[in-house]
Amino acid sequence: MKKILEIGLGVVTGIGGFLEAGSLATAAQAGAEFGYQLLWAIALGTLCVIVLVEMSGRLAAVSHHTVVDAVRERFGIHAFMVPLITVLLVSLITLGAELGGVCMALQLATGIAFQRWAVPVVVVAWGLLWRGSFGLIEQGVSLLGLVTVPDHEPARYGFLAVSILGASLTPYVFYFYSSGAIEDRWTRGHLWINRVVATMGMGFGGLLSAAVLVLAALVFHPRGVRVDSYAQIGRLMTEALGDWGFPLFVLSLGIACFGAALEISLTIAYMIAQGFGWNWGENVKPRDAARFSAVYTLALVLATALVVIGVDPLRLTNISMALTAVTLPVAALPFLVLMNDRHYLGPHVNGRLANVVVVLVVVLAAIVAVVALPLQLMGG
Amino acid sequence: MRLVHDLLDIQILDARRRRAGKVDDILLEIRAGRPPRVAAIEIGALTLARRLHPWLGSLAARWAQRAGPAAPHAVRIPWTAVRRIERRQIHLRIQATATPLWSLEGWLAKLYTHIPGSGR
Repeated sequence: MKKILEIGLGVVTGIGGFLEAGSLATAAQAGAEFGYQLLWAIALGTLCVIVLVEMSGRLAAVSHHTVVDAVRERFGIHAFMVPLITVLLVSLITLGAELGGVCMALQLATGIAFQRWAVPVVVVAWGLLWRGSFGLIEQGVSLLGLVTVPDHEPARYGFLAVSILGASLTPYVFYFYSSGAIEDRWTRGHLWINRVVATMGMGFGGLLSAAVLVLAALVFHPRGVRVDSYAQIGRLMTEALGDWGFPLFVLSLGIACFGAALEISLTIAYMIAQGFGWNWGENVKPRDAARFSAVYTLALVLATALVVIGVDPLRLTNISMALTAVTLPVAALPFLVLMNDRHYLGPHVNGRLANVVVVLVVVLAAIVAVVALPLQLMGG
Repeated sequence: MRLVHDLLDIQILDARRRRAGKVDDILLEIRAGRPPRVAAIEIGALTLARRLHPWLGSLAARWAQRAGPAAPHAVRIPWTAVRRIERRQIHLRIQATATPLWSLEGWLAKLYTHIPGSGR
């Protein structure tokens, strides 16, 4: 019974972790502009994230190390600095995008400009992290997510494809997931739970993204509408769900982005605290993990600046998703080497299939991103 | 034991299982006629900066002179203070709070007592 509860919570948290500004926005844009053509990107991104998340849970259960701990230990401080700095920078921009998404939802609901919502939103987010109420929010997110969602332009196509791939892997969920597994003291006995949670949680998340894409393909694509703002994605929901569509969309955009913002703040704090060996933990009192709490506080302040100066949240989302895809090899490849090291995993090292899937998707995403990102930035 | 592979960059836990940093550097003692042995481990931002790049090291050293709670440290823990190594983690006999390892953590924790909810 306890195991079933554990699986249920894990799956629900997984969906919550998957659904955020990036997945919603990129899927809607892709459906509107290219019909069903980009469904492959969601399928591929979901497959890759299932494999990566399963890997990080397995590492934690078998070696009792988080991904960050193991990467620093295995590769030394010099090599560790490269993923550390890259992931921190991209995560900060993504955090700005998620906070922007919450503020945008509030603007759509109230008519008050999104920049003005930045400070109140960040204060509430910080308060929840400080009080350690993260788990509750994350589970709420996925429930709401479930309620809501029932070639002429090669550069744009490529850009959206990498954005989707980036969105499925945002914000480096595998760093986050292994920290949770360590906090819950996973052992080898959790390996099968890990497999179920990773597959179902991320799989459902991918299905929801696919549903948004299909909806956008049905409603927007035939009329040639391009999604340039969050308000437009809301109109999609009115089409599908009638008068309730828009408020439901605003609510789930706000809460999904809010959950993602909390998750990214924690990821940033995990990376730094684990990298330098400080006390950390989502369930630890701020007093007992003082530097860890200071890091997420600082991250929230820096990311809020992006919203306050008025960078368009949807644009910020697109850029951060594509940056995630470009930088993915830096974060995922050392992790992959680790997963083949018997010093850490003994008989539980990766099979060939997992290795092939990760290398293929990560390299593909990075190549398409390198080609499409400059074209998109120049053109758009 | 292979020093770089099995000791460098691993997690340190103090006598009360608080996470007290990573092994940022290792100090060896050269003894006449006998093999060298580990005399101490060194932990801290100053140590790390030195290991990363001499230029970063001198920058950190200059900052360290100015003191303050966030100033980078190079804290040496003698090998005699190590109780055991288990699952690639070092367990110390001593409490981190009694060393400069805890200066920033302690300073922040004291600051937090003014903020509601810090001790939940």
